[in-house]
Amino acid sequence: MTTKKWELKDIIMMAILGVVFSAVYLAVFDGGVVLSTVLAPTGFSNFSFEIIYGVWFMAATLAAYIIRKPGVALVTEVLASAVELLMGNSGGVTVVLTGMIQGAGAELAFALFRYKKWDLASMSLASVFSASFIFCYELYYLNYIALAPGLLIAQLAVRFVSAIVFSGVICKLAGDGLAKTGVVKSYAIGAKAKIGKVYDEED
Amino acid sequence: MSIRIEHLKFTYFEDRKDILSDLSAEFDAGEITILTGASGCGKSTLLYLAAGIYPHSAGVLRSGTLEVEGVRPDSLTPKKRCTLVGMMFQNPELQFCMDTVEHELLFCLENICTPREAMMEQVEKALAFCEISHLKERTLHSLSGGERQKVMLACLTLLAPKWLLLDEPFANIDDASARMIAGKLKELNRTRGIGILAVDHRLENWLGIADQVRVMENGVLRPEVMDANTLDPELLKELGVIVPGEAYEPKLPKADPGDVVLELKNLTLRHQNNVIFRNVNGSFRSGCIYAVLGESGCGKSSLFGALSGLYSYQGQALLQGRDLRKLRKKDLGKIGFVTQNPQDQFVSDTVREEILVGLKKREDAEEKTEEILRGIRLWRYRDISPYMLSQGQQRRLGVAALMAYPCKVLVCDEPTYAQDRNNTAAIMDSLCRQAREHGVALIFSTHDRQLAQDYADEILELKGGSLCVH
Amino acid sequence: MRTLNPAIKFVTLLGVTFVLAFRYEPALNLAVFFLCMAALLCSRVKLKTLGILLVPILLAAVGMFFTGYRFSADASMPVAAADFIVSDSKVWNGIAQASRVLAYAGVGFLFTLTTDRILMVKSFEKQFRLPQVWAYGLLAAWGIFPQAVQEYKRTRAAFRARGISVFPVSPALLKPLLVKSVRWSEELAIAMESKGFSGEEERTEYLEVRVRLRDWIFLAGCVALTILF
Ligand SMILES: Nc1ncnc2c1ncn2[C@@H]1O[C@H](COP(=O)(O)OP(=O)(O)OP(=O)(O)O)[C@@H](O)[C@H]1O
Ligand SMILES: Nc1ncnc2c1ncn2[C@@H]1O[C@H](COP(=O)(O)OP(=O)(O)OP(=O)(O)O)[C@@H](O)[C@H]1O
Ligand SMILES: [Mg+2]
Ligand SMILES: [Mg+2]
Repeated sequence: MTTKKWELKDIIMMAILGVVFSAVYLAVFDGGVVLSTVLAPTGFSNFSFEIIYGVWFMAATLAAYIIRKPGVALVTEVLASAVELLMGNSGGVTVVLTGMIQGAGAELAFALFRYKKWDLASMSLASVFSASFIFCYELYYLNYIALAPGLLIAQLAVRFVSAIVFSGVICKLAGDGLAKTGVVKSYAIGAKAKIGKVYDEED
Repeated sequence: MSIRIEHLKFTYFEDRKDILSDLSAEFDAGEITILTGASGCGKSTLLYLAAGIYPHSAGVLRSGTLEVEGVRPDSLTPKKRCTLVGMMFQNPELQFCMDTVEHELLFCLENICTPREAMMEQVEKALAFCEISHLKERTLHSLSGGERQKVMLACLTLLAPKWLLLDEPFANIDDASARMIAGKLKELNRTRGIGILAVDHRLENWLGIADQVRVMENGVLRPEVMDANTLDPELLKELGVIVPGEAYEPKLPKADPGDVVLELKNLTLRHQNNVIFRNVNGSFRSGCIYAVLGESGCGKSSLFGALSGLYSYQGQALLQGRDLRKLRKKDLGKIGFVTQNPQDQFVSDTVREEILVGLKKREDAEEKTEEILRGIRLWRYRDISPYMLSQGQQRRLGVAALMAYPCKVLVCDEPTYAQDRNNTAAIMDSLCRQAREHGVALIFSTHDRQLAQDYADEILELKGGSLCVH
Repeated sequence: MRTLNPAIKFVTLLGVTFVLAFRYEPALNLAVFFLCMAALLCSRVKLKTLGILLVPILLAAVGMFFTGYRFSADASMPVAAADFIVSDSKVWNGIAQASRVLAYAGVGFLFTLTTDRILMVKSFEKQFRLPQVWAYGLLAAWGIFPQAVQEYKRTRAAFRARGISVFPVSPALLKPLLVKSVRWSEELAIAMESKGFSGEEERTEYLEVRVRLRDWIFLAGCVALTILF
């Protein structure tokens, strides 16, 4: 059960997480849009997205945390973005590219730990990597370079915090919660988890 | 030509007691065997093992062997395995992988490398065989529980395995359809030599069709091999099996009808422009028990779903004179629901929490929870997730979660399916007691006419889109 | 648009957005946006769906306009931003940012609203050699999506039926959903395997997705147009 090869159930798990999170992403995107419109006249509308940016890495870190096999973070994130595109994301076909970049960031972090360390540190590192990767890309793609540097640094800082909170802390808590219920027994995350007992007494 | 099991020991968790403890048996392909026994004794587990799904997907096989036609099913690749054994799962929700009925059936055929030209013809034939040709284009998630089970049967006839393992195939199906399908199964068994092993709590649909009845108890098979045509009621009763045609003999106080609490006025519901029922009227009094009957797919769950706010409808539903749609948050809790699929209503991590959630306001919540759980024989499972229970146990937990909940109307969608005799009685007794003692209007749907007759004050039948008093 | 091969359509539109990413011309962006809208209308997309989808996009465009307007980089900036900035007018910068959002959205919708999902996955499987496990894993996951939406409503109803009112995105509500999606993946895998699917063995196909001449014409046409502009 601890092979590194992907099994059918791993793939479906990634696909499901991808589909579920694509919906989350879309919903959050709409939320961000509303927020940014409110902030628009102040020119700080970019920050509304930075605050929630961490949400966009959740699929990658959560899937990797549950399945714990190489490649999972990258693929799940790409899937989530691809499905997001199908459901009508405004970013156009390039959301898949952003997904790829974010996923690669998370993947790299887990790979640095040789896929052996699964705790808050590795999860946070993965989130921060995702955040920085995508920021570099956006510098060019969204032409952020044309924006003032002070603003950029502030944006990046907010994005890091958001990444750690959402895809680091929250994903870890969610994963641990799942493991405790015992429903992920057949995945790496649940293999050693302590779960509730069935008592021997008769009723 | 048989399934041969020798000294099988199986458990879900290494550090727990065995679910199957030294089980040995042999089932013959020429006969239809019915397996029955108390809920949670390991029947589904045995079928999963015979279908080669466990121990690969879950659990540990400690010792023993299981062979189907001389091969171990878990040693085969899926493609070979599906032509050897086919299994119909107990939960009709989660057995499909595609979007529509047609695509699902094609998917099966593609897997066994049927030539493209032959596919459509086979699909049509299988649909016709199960009498569900009208469902061909429907999306799977919009089907009723019983319809899903028929579609699954169609899939299995396409794959044409040597053995069919059926886990409560009729749990959500009305008696007429059940008997129709049982007849078809017999045809498959006699003409195509397909071996059939079915788990069922209610034997009456198998009378005249099955050959053998075996009873399971605490992870082993009882030695008695009963001939399905000459069943001994005394023995069945002793083993806790529902005796066909026998009354439940509830001990209920007489009804004392109170005020009308729920009133339906010209309720009409459509699913995607198909009228499911039209102008349904009815009034429900507190302290009374109502049974809703109707063949599968007639709209019972849809009616309940409309009341719980899942589907939109025309007409009015009045709770104590006020329109359900206009109720304030506080009043919404006055009507409790038990859904057809228990997993639809689980909201907590553990069995105990699941009951506690509804009792938040009571002071004796802890004691009451223990009492309820003991009553439905789930107390020892209190600390595990509801999803780790057997299907029948999940059903009981789903009902129990609302047993002590203070509401005016309690709506239960098939509260007793997949239950053995003792549990059926236990569930119905406490539901009905709650109705009588606390003046709740209890509305439940069921396919078991005997149950409806014995417990309900009034029997309603949903037929052809309207609700009439029986 | 509907009859085009999804894989080729995907590649083409990906190419178009890519070109857009390296150009900084509001006129081109707007032209792409309006072309996409025209193509959508020609392929009989429901106006209502389109309208609903467009609202957040327009809002986002407005947001981007103001961002670009306020924070256009200074000419004295050390970064070699001059390549991108043709004019230092603030309004122009704002419009450029906003029109870009519109163009991407237009291309995205053009793909989404005119592509059948099942065909798409099958076409990816054929044309991009997407492994079967992935193709069907995706289809299965996609299949449970409507169920997941239903499930969300049911979980809310379940809380309500016990007199508990929960906040629409509260953890209490999302947790059962997460647990369920994990259960689903296991049970779907079991269901697929028990119907003979492993992803590794040979199987036949009822539907065959092919690349036809008109797909190539579409690809060539789009590429030509964007390059010539
Ligand atoms: N979301 C939906 N979209 C379209 N049709 C639906 C939908 N839900 C249910 N139906 C159809 O409405 C009819 C009634 O379904 P419902 O689930 O209420 O039946 P039921 O009486 O509860 O049956 P069973 O006893 O099998 O559970 C069925 O024919 C079903 O296929
Ligand atoms: N996936 C699982 N993980 C852990 N334990 C399980 C799982 N499924 C079932 N069990 C436990 O194994 C025991 C046997 O379950 P099984 O599903 O085989 O019962 P059953 O005889 O089919 O009951 P029912 O008639 O209620 O369906 C039960 O006590 C249950 O709690
Ligand atoms: Mg069972
Ligand atoms: Mg129903």
